[in-house]
Amino acid sequence: MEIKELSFSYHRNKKLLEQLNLTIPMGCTTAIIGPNGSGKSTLLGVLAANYTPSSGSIILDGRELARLKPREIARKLAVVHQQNTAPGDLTVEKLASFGRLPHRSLLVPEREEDREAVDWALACTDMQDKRLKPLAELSGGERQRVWLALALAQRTPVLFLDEPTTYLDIFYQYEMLDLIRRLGREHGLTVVMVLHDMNQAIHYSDHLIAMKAGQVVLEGPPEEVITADSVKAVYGVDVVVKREPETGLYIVPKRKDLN
Amino acid sequence: MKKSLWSFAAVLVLLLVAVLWSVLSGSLQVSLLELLKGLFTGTNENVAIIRDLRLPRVIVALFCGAALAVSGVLLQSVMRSPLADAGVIGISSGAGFVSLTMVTIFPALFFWMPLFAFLGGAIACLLVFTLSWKSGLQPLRLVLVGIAVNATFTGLGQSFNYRGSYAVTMVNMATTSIFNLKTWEDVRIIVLYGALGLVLALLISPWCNVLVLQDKTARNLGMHVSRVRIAVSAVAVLLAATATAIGGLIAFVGLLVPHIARQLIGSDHKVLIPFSALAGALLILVADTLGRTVLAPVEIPASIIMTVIGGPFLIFLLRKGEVNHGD
Repeated sequence: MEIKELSFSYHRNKKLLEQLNLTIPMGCTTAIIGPNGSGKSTLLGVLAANYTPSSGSIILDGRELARLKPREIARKLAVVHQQNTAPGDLTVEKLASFGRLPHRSLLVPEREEDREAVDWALACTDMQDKRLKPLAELSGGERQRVWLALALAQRTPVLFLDEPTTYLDIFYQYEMLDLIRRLGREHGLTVVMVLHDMNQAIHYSDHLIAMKAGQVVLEGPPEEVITADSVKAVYGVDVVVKREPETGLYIVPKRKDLN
Repeated sequence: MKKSLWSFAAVLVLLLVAVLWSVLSGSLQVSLLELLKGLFTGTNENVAIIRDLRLPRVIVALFCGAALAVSGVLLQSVMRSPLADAGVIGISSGAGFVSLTMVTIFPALFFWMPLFAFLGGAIACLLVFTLSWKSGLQPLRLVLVGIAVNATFTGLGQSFNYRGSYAVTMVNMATTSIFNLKTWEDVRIIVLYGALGLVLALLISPWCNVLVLQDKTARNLGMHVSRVRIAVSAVAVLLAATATAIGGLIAFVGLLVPHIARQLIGSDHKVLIPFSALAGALLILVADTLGRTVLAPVEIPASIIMTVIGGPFLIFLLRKGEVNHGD
């Protein structure tokens, strides 16, 4: 995915994204990080064609995103949002089957391949046993997995996730991230996710993009771009960068009360 | 599943009972047997009067109720707010105002009244959408804007009453909703446009199921959200406008019926829409029949009965707080 001179703003005087030039490598996992208001979720929204850029272009699969019909985009690219709403009595299976909409007309009954895709998505997310349960009866982690199943049922080569761990406790956070990594590797998906937690971004991505004030300030493999200086530059926080055999590379903020 | 089957059966039986009750009660009394015989042979004079006066009224009430309830369901999915109702947010009063103005100026265009009503309803709907849109729809703001739009159009409509002209009595009758003096001509119009709207609503019900998710989710599933929203709104306005043009202003049907229907049969629009149509028809028919029999020969308009029930119900919905269904 190529991004060229991309700008975006809601209001004329306030640019949220300014002249971004980026490449998102296909077939691996990219994490977008940055402080609040840096434009990371906005970038994901523009890349997912939820917002129309004010200038610049996004090339997906050799074609300009702006020229594709919504349905064509939905066959190439699926999105899991941070916050989702659905009626509480909707069943897991029914919600996941909405993922087939880009591939069939609403007025035409389901075909065999639609059922297979939904079964596959539910199997991937380990929701098969609960497929007839209404959403209201699920835990937070399960609910997030259903939304992931919906995106998977679209069977797209590209998967976007906007802060997929935000509302989950630490157990479900890692469960979700492990699941995303496994799916990405097994099926060669291009995964792009916005993450809040630096350490999760380091552990779960092959490629890291750091944003600040609407611009990309770091780009590359996490092992190369994460240093005490670069974190200070992006977040303004003094950190220690460590590496342990059991955890790999990680960062910890310095404690101000100890010196 | 079982609960929804029972609910459908119950509402069908109740509807049948209500129709019989409504046709058989009133100042003229005939037995069911006489009625059926009279309708086929056309010899019974009382039955002929009932056929000309009471039957159209019953049919108009049924279609008005169905149309308003389904219009409420559609508006709620398109505006993603359980508080949206054609009567509450000004679509009905917009429809009423424009159609009355046009018919007062050009009385010859009476048959086109639903079309003018549609125009007025569409204007009101557009106003509510554009005025309450702030990078998305927020249920409560939408209702507030809707109430303001409703007040404006109701005021404009009522200003007809105070012009002190000869036309006043005629107009007055059409703004409040009494179903008396409905003719088979009215039936023709409401059945034609109402049935069209109801069939369209059934056809677009799968879209509504996707619309109740968020806009961005619907868009990421390949839906042209704004186009779909316009189409669904258009059907909702068609239904509300038809009901208003023939039945007058009735609020709260589209609020009450879909809410109860969701409790009984769930939120899948493929069943919610037909169920709401039946339940709405039942509600208005019962309201109208009660209105004309309880204090006979005085009549209480169905719209007034609905306002009395609907007002407290809106408060109940607002008090329930969490306006949008959880994630």
